Parts: sequence; C-alpha cells; structure tokens
Amino acid sequence: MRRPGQFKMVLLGESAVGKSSLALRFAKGQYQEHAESTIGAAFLTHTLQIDSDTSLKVELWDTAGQERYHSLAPMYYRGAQAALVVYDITNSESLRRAKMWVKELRQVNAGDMVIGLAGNKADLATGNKRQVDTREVAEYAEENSLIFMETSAKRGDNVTEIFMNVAKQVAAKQPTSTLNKPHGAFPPTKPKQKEGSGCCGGDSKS
Amino acid sequence: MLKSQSTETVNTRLDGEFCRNACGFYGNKIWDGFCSKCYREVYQQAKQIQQSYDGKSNTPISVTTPSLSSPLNNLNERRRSNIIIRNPIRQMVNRAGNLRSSSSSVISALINDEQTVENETASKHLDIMTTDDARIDIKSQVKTFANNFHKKCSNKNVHLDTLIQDYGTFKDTIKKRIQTNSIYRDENEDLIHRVRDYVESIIFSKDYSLIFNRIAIECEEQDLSIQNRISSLHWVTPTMLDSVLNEDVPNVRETIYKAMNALIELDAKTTPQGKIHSIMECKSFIEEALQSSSGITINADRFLPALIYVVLRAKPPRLHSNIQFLSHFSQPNGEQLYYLANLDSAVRFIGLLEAEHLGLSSNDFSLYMRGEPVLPSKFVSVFDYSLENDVNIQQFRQMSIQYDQIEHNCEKFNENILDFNRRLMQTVTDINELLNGSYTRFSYFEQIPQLIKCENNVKNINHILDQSTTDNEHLPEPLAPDIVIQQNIKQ
Repeated sequence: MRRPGQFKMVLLGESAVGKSSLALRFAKGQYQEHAESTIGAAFLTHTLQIDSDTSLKVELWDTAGQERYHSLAPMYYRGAQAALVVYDITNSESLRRAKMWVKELRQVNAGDMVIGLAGNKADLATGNKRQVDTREVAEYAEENSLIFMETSAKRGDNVTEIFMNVAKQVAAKQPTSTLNKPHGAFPPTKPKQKEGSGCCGGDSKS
Repeated sequence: MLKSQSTETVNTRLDGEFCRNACGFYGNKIWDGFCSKCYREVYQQAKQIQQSYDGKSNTPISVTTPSLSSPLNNLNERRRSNIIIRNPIRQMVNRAGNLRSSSSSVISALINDEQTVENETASKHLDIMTTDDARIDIKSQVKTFANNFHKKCSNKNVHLDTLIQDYGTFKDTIKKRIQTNSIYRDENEDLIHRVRDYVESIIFSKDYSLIFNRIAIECEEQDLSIQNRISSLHWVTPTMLDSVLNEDVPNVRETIYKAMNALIELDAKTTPQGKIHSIMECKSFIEEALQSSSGITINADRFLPALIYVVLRAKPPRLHSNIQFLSHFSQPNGEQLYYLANLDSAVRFIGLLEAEHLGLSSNDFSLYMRGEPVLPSKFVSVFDYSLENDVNIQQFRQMSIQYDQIEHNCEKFNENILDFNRRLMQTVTDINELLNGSYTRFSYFEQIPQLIKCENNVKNINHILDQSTTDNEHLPEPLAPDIVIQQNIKQ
C-alpha cells in the first residue's frame, strides 16, 4: 500500500501579479479573467506524478500580497518545503518585491527551501508593456539558485512546468519516505519568543 | 401515638426482611429497605454523585480538586444533560437493592454505566472498522492511555508541557500502530481520522476543562490584551483593511454575522475537531460574504483582510488560549492547517496593527484610538491611493471635514424647522378650539372661558378652582415623572 508523499509550497508576491491565477491554472486547469463562478483559491492541492512510482501531493498556500500584510508571511512559509515567488513582467516594481521575498526566504531557511521564480503575464510580452528583461532575471536566478521561468496563467505557458520542476527538486532533496510524514503539527505561536525566526519549523523539515 | 412510634422503630422485626444490600442485617422501610449502616453508605455516596451532577462547588469533592472543579462540573452537567436527565439518588437506591451486592460495587456499577453511555457515542467513530480485533485493540489502547492521562491531568504537579508531550506521543504511537500492525491491514485509509475523532471524544469528554483551564490560566494576560486591543479597534472598516467586503449589501451583512457567530462558538467547543470545525465554518461564511460582495476569485489577498475584519467584529473570547490549545492538541489536515494559520496571522496582525496598516496617518490613527471624530468613513477611500501633493490632500481633508459638519448642521436645522412647524400648527388648532368652545386637549382650559366671563366673582372662581381640584383627584398620579415626560413630548 503506497501513500503519496506531500509537501507544502507557499505562494509569495505582490497583489495582482497573478499568484492565484497561476495556482488555479495549475490545480484546476482554469483561467478566469472575469470569473463568473467564484472558487476559493487561497488553499489548493494538486497531485503530481513525478515519475512512474513517485507521486507528490502539492499543498499550495496563498499569501496576502498587500504590503501591509508582509509581516505575516513567516506564519505561512514556516515549515514549507518550497516557495513560488511570482512577479509581473509588465511591472518592474513587482520584481523588486519578489527579490525581497527571495532574500528573506534565503535568510530564514538557508538553502533548505526550493524556490521557484515565476515571471507571470508573459502573454503581455509583445508590445511595449514588458518592463522586466528576461536575461537579467535569469542571471539573478542563477546566482540565487532559483528555478526561473516566465509563465502565462492566461495561456497556460510553463505553468505545469515550473511547478513540476520545483516538485522534482523537492523530491530529489528529500526521499519520499520523509515527505510521507504530515508536516508537523500546526505551528504554535510561541508566546515567549515572539519573533520565531525559523526555529519553529524544525520538526517539519526532518 | 405510642403504637405508631413502636412500628417505626421496631418494624424491622415485624417485616422480618433483610437489608436490600444482603449484608446480613435486617432492613428497614424508613431506610428504603436497607439496614442503617448500608443506607448511610449508599446515601452518602449517592449524595456526592448528585452534588457533582449539580455542579455545586462547596462540596467535599471539589475540595480535592480546587479552583478547576466548578467549571468542570458545569461542563459535565451540560454534557450529561444531553444524554438522559434522571435522579441519580433514586436510581442508585433502586439499583442497589436489585443488585444485592456491596454498596461500593453498586456505585462503581453506576459509574461504569455512565461511562458506557459516553463510550457508545464515541464508539460510533469506529463503526467503519471491518474487524473486531482491530476495534478491540484500539479501544483497549485508548482506555489505558485515557486513564493514565486523566490521572496526570488531575494532578496539579504535572506540568502542562508533560501533558502535551504525552498526548503527542500517544497520537504518534496509535498512528504508527495503525500503519504497521497487521490487524489493521484490511482497514480503510480513512481510519486514522476516525480513530483521531474517537480518541478525542474519549480523552476530551473527561479532561477538556482540566487541560483548557491550565492553558487559559497561562494565557490569561494575552487573552485579555487581545480583547482590549479589539475593543479599542472597533472603528476599523473593511476599506481600511483593504477588504472588498461590502456591508451595504444586506446579504453580506447577514453572512458576516454568521461568520462572527462561528468564531465565537470556537470557545464553547470541547474537542480539537469541534474547534477546527468552527473555524472552517467561519471560513465558509467569509467566502460566501466575499462572493456576494465582489464575485471574484477568493484568494489570500481577499480572504485574510476579511478574516481580520470578522475577528475584530466578533471579539471572540479567549482567542489566544484557543489557538494555543489547537496548536498543542489538534491534528488538522492540510487545508484546516492553512486556515488555522490564517486565524493565527489575523490575531497577530491585530496585536501589531499600526497606522500604516490601515492606510491612515499616525495622527488620524491616534485620533481614532482616542475615540475622537476623524474623517467620515465614506471619504477614507479617497485617500487610499497616495497622491503626491501633500498640501492639496490636507486642504481637501479639511474641506471634507467642514463639508461634513455643514451637512450635519443642515440636518439639525431641518429637524428644528419641522419641529417648529408642528408646534405652531398645534398651537393654532388649540386656540381655534378654545375659541369654538370645543377644546379637549387639556381639560383645565375648558374652564378658562368661564373664568374670564365671571371676572370679579371671586366666589365663582373659587368654586371653579375647587371643581378642578376635585377633578384632579380622579386623575391617575399626575405627578409621576414618566407622565411629565410624556406631556413634554406631546407638547
């Protein structure tokens, strides 16, 4: 009897860069510009077949992208094995925010976390709308060992690919047996140490 | 007289019946057929049980478990009253007679009976299990642990951390057992969840208040500070939190109330799963409200601000304690974990909230916190995006405030005009009626024309005045303050 492994992946990025559109496209294969029926997209799961005998269930944790909720992000990425940082290729400010996220994640989780970087809205690349140069970001991704792709949630370009690449790296880092473990208990907010700088995620990583 | 006395005292011999407890002594009707010794024992123990049913705290029982006992008893009472309401003393005495065993075993039989009722409802969680072996195994595992755990919970010297650790270890042991032991081979994958529910209902039916009270005592300060914090933030609107919730839609308002209720109920639930269920219910209502407000995809950008708003509105009791309890004792699945983390984040956000989190200047924020009038909320959205020209904003702000004051005064003025009109109309009709002689509003004034007519006739005046005073006697308490107030309103 083989139970599929699972891991937690947190979605980070400014509001309106298309975090939830990417997640919805990945988990449900849908894209809705003006949604008629609404779907809860804050928490989504999707099972990926990594190879013939490994399947991984991805739990996607969306985070609020507004600047004012930035300080709450640690509550979400704590204990996550992977993160997808999203920016909008038509908005250079969103890349600046994305780089802040990457820096923060690397500081807190050292090299343990697999991080993907998605330049979304690639369908808008034609014309003068593009503000972010692909080569520059690719170099930056190389330096920081990120899995980088430009994606389009609208057209579905590279969506499954980037999630799949991240999942594969997660699987390679940790044998499936450890992924089978449910990722620890609900992270308690320790009243004694208010800033839980990464120390609380200890049980979930092993 | 003498005869009745003798029957009361000597009837043991006359009836010739032995004590119902089969102790070898004679029984007596006045002791329900027990001998005096057995009756005293049975009655004493029954009384103690009765007291624990009633939840009275000034009993010998509660002395043994001080300070925590009264909420526990209340809780037990509430829980048991759901099952069957009965008179424990009478039942106990009846049963004691039937069983013809020693009084102590009677008590234990009754207590066991009480537990079977509980266990039966809990056992429903195990109904899906296919083999009896597995079921019996689970039950015995849980029973052993529950008894030990209960002793530890009741012992004040055992630290809360030890309890948390014990419970955690037991959860893992059971899980491992189910995954590895061969008797569980044929069982459904869902079994782990079923067993979790079973374990929770057994453990927490007994020990919930013991455990929760310990947490609540530890977290009392934080609980209070969150409560106070929420009270001081009562003025926060959805717009300030960057939430799309639109309370002008009646449907949305209604659903927000439901979400608030679910969140308040969190504290009343006595099992981890029950509490998680409340949170998930709250989540569903928030999604519903967001859907009716905007009809767009509900992602974290929209959900979290709405949740924060609902927490602020609901002001749930002992929020911090409940989150702590769940973090130590619950076993949520992935999705539940996500929404727990959301609630935790919301509480933390409220605790650390500052002016910029609401898109306010620190000046406005402190004004709000002091409860002083600031800008009417309908203008807040105007300032949400950052304009470059600060002077213009300030001017616009001032003008907006002035406009609002003018609007307010206009409304007041309108009201006054209407009021004046009404009074004038009344006065005119009063005078008209007086002139016609058909005045009815205040009976005194009927006689005024007469008074005027007989100007100098003092006798007459006195007569009329006397009449009016006699009339007064018939009136119901004219000096009572509420009537005075009513008259003021009429006028």
